[in-house]
Amino acid sequence: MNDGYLIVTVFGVVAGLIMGHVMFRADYCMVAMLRDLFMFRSTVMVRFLVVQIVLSMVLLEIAHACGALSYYPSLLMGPANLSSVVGGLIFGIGMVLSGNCVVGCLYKTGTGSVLGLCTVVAMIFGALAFVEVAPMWNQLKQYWQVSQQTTLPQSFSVASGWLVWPIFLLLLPLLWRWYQSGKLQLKERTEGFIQPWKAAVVFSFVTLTACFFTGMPVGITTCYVKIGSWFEQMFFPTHVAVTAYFHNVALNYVPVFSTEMISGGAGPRLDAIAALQLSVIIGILLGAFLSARRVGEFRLNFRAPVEQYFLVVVGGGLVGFGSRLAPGCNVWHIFGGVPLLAWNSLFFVFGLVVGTWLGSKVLLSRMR
Amino acid sequence: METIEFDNCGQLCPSTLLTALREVNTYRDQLQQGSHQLVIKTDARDATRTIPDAVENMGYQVEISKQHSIYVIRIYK
Repeated sequence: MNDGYLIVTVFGVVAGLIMGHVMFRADYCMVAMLRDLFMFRSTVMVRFLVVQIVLSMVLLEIAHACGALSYYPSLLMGPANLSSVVGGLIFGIGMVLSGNCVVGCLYKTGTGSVLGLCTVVAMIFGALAFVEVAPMWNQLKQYWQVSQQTTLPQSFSVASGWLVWPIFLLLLPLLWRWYQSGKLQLKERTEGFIQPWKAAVVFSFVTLTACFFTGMPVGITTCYVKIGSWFEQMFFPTHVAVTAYFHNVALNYVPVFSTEMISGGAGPRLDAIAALQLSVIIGILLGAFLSARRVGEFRLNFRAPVEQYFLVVVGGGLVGFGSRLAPGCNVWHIFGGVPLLAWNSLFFVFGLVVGTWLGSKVLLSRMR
Repeated sequence: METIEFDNCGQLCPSTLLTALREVNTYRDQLQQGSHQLVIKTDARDATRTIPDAVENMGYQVEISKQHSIYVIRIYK
């Protein structure tokens, strides 16, 4: 076996196991972090996301300054394009309706939530729906490109440290105030609870090691298209054969510690995308399953109101579709792109916040 | 004190919180008088943070226990 595939697969499984376990035990729900800002005016959980982004930014900057990152800022991050705002917007609406993001549904599925599994399936269908409009979207995107550069430092023609350290110093008093006032410490009410600030630290190191070993942050959703394409090939092989999106090779590179090239795309093949992302998906499912079993909380549960099933299907579909429009999901952009000061990730977050606000409005109106 | 039980298992946030708040409002008079307590069962771990935070702000007391794989949130005055 090509050692490049082996390295990224092993990394993906280990990272996924850690993410699944820690997300479940810390209740590290990225939907709640943003949604609760608008629905309940609560900033309790979003603080941990800020901690994570700031820490990731600093760690990546130190690693970059030491020359430890072979592919800086990252592979698969394109030039600044406003299409990421639209992707983020649709993603945000869907995320609130379904109550899940692309990793939230995975770790909840691992603990036995049938609603979580339905969301995963809906996201796969949403991602597949995008494939049908991809040629049109790619044409449209050409008019929305605002810069040839990928990151803010590149656009300003400065070393990344000139932006990262001032941002860090600007936010440090806020983080210190949260720490001093005990706002980073939550009451431990569940068995085996992991404080979310510890989870934020763990995920920062996951991002750092992902960029070191694989050349990019953790990603999930290209593999949702791939999983969908496997099923589509069973029923519509001719359609898959003539769809250009499934034949694109988006990735072609040599991972660190390897001498061999790995390559892959969204099509129905076991390739680099499968090695990078399917491994993380399996890791998260397994990590959450083992973690839930350990505290006796694995429980197959499908007993939920029909309306919730409706919402997870509609919302999950929008999340899958939005993640391909962007392209990239909340984990890719918030865990990785924002700390790297990537334009598209900042655009995505802007769209995501607006989408979350809209989704919250819709949800509240349905619940009244 | 009489107990009103509500099974919230299988639901995802924010429905867990919103349906719990709906129950609290439905039985507000009984809870305020101290004649009743509300017991909510949930398998959503995050609900053990969101529900207590919300009802404590409304002036109720909260106790959480675990029965098998389910968390039981007791709300009373």
